[in-house]
Amino acid sequence: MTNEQILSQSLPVIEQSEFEKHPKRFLNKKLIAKFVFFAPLLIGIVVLFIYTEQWMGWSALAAWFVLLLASLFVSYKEFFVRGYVLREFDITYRHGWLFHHQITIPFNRIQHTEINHGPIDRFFSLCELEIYTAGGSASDLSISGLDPQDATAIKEFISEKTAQHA
Amino acid sequence: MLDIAQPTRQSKLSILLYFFKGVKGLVAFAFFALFSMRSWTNSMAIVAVSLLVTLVTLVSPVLQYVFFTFHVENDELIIQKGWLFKERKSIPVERIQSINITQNVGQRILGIVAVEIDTAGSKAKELEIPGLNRHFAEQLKSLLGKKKSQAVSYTSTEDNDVTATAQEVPVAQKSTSRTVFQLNIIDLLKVGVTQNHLRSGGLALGVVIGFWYKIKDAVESFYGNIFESVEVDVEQVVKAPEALGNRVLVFIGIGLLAFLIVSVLVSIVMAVNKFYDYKMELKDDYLEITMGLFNKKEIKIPLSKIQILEFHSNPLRKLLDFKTARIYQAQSQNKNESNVEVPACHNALQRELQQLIFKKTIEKPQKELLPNPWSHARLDMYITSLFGLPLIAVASYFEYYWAVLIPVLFIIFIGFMGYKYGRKSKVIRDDDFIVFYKGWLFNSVIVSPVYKTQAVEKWRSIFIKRRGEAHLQVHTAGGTRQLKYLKEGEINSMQNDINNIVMRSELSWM
Repeated sequence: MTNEQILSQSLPVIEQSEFEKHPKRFLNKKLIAKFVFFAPLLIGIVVLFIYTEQWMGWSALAAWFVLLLASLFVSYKEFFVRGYVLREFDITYRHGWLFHHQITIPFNRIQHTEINHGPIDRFFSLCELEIYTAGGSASDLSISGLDPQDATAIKEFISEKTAQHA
Repeated sequence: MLDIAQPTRQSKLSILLYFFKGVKGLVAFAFFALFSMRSWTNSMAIVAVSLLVTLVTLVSPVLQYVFFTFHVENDELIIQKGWLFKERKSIPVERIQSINITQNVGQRILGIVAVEIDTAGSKAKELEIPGLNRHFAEQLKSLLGKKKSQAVSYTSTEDNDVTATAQEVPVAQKSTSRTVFQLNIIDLLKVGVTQNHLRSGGLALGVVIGFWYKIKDAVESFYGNIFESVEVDVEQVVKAPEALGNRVLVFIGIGLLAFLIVSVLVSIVMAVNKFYDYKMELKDDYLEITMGLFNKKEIKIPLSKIQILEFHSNPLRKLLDFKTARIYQAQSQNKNESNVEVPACHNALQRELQQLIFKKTIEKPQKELLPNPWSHARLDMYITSLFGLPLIAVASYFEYYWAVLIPVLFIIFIGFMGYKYGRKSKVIRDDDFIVFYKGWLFNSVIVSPVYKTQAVEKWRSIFIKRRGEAHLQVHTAGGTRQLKYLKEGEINSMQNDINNIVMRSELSWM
């Protein structure tokens, strides 16, 4: 029989663990998706150039460019703070640069998990792991931009752990 | 014993219930038809349409009744409904969180009840059987409850074979019942008087404004332009306020007084309607609450499902020394019906509820997290400034410099309230509970057992990163609670502590 003493300092802390990064192509996907989102607005600017005075078109173009750069910058920054930690009994995910979130869900509180991928995701061979908890959706977790193999492995791992607690 | 292995229909009275619902629409249509009947050719078409609509209103309740069936099959409750658009909902019995019996005015007249079945899945649709007779409903409730406990104990025996033989499903449980709390008339009135009157006043005002033009139209079409004289008055006031002088002040005074009286009356009526004949009973391991004057409500909450207990207060309630308790149970999103309010909760009852529901009392806190009151004040002042600064700009543009004072004072006042809010708020944790204390004048105490936590979240905007502050969110199956502007380092250690407790906990939490 063992009953080792546990000091409160030796209890596990999240801050000491190494956050795993998403694959680099997730950054590319994000940047391209942002650009694709902004591109149609260019048509509007062309229309402005044709039908109104020059300065209107130019200022619209400048505004478009600034907004595009700002959103690309935010996406770029976000990529480097995004990460997850899988530990023996819980999963921690952090994301967001302007609004930074860090959430920890123990496995014995997870209801089920799901893997989703959209067309753009498939093109970059990425996918999204969704983790559902009970009650409202406030504590549901969706980790986007994972390698499909990693995602499947994580899902298997979590399912195994949750099955032990069910 | 009730047999619902085969698809079963509701009580025949439910046809009338569906009919009542249809009639509401019919009345609206009749008004529309009446007003649009101007010329003869027009009215012929409208009569035709009206006949059709009436026919539909008469026939559709019967169809709705015929095509609404429910039954239990392989430990799944299945509800089927619809004729053109068929819908089939099925729910595993062990997933049922609570079964409530409710009754609205229509159902009350017909002497039938609705059975609501709540699940806690975040996406599952809610199920309701709107027309059953009471006896049947109660049998159904107990049958589903029994099936559920069988299903649950079956799955638990499946998991560990060692105890499989030892476990026996208790067939006949002894049922004990004890009244925890009953609201008498005096307390009911006190509750009414101490409601948030601003809210009920606003509600009344909203209704009047929303229907103002309709009311006006209706009255004018019968009595002619009786509003004309009032409008002239208003115009005169705007053009030449001096001419009226004191009358404006008197008018405003009377208006405010009327608003106050109406607000208080509306509050009292709403409170009486909601809490009339309030009774909370403890039966075995669940709480049963009945209340309501016109809309009778009967809610059943298993004690183990309760996630959060809150106690709210306001300045008027503090004078009478009672609070409002709210009980939140594990449930699906956006469904607040099975959350329960306990009005007129005195300190003794507060302690009793806590003891009853969570079996433990809050001890001396181990950890205490205090927010930065200045951060609260700052945020509130920023938000108010969004409206305040344009006002100041407008006032100084027109050179009404004294008017600048109003937004400035208002911003300072809001800042002061924010500061006070921050000073009076805190999160504490002892061995068993996380407790949020929030607010100053309208303060609340939020109690949740640590092991019921589902996830702990820390978040911050980039603007407060420099200050080393962050917000703490505690997610439970009954909802999320948060307190802002705490020290980031303290949140980290709180987050780790809570996690370590939840991970080790083997207690049933939902």
